[in-house]
Amino acid sequence: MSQQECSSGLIKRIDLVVIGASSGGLDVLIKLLRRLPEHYAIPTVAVLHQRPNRSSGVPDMLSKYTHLKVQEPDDKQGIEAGHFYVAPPNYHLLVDSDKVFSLSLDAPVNFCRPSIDMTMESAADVYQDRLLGCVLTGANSDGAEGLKYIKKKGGYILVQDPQEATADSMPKAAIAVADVDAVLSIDRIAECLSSINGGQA
Amino acid sequence: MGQGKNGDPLSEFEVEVECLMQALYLRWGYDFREYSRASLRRRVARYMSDNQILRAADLQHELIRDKKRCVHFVRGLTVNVTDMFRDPVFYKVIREQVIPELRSHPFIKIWHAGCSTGEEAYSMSILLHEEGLGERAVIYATDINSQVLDQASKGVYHEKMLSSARENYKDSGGKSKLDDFVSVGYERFLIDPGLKKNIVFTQHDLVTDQVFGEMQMVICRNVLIYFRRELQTKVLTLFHNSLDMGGFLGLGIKESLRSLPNEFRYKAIDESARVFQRVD
Repeated sequence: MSQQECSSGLIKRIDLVVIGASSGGLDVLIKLLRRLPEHYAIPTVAVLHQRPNRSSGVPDMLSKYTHLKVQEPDDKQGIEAGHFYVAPPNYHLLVDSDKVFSLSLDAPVNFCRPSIDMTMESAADVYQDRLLGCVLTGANSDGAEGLKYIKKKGGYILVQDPQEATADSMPKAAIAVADVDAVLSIDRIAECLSSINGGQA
Repeated sequence: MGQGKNGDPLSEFEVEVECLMQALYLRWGYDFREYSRASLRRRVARYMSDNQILRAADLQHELIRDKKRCVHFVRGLTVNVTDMFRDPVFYKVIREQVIPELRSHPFIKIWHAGCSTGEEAYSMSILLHEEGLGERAVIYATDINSQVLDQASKGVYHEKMLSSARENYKDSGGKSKLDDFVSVGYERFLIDPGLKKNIVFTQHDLVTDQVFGEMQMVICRNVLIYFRRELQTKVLTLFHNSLDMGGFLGLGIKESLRSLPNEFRYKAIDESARVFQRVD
């Protein structure tokens, strides 16, 4: 498998992007944001494993590198173009039926809260084949089941090249479990995202 | 419902969950029909896999015939987590900005809705005692789940929660030591019985039960997140009608007033701590 190309021509239309990252994730998200062009406006959700701090400061940090509006969504906040959402620490971030976020304090899934799998699976139920899922660096296996589910619902799934990732077990687990559409460097992932729907929401 | 809001037909499982919620309401009066679907479905799926039930229709068949089983199932749908002084910034704002205003009241009534196992109700009781208001305040701590209320009224918690409780207490602006309010032993810690005197634990369902009258403060944290917006509106209306003019409303750190009916007016005491004051 391991396609090295993003055949974005094959992607019909994407209305939401969900990215999962863990160990080394903050740096790679900054890299990604710096490479997204001005016209990129597809609503994008990043589920980043963090210590369960009270306030993470991650949105402020990421804001410096992007034109997108970066925020931790409130419960029942609507999903909008031009926004880059970060899962708040210590909550699961779910996508609910009318394209709003719902938060949950359900038990951690595989020791993770937020759980990448949970966000991806709930988003796939709502966005079906108009969802793109992406798993980046991380030292566990969260996101693998989520990607598999997105694929089952007809969505498109990308994984960061494990050779490039700071921690390779999360991308490797994703590749082992899900039928990944492409395994790419973070630069190529950024290119791929910018080319979908011409980058427009 | 019939269809998802974006027009796609619901999946088989989604339809079965809709039917199950309707069945529980019709058969036993448990009303989860307006709960957020994303987390509700996950909890149903989890219960099914834990109990080796393959189809939600089979689960429904069982639950409408077996009340005891249903009570067990419903508990699994509502179990929540909480901590002593959870989100210390919330308690700091209460201490610094709400308490000074509450002092002018001869008697202070606080409704803590969805108190779960009681840690936050005791946190508030500690805070009130430290501020010298313990004797003239009463906290009505309610939950839908009678089992967690039993646990709450005991006031006994596992010792492994103690270190984060101490840290939270300190960060919330605590004036002495948390250990002055709890006793520790046998891998447990016990809330000082004196702190229980002004807490009334009682069962209350936000979906089907009525107003608690003339409260100076309503606290409901991380409960609304499990509700759809329509139900959030209904519950926020219930809180509004339970609050005195000038009363305070405290929500979870990621909850907002976006589902509040337009005609109600609140002022943010602290936007990020989610502490509001009724102003109309």
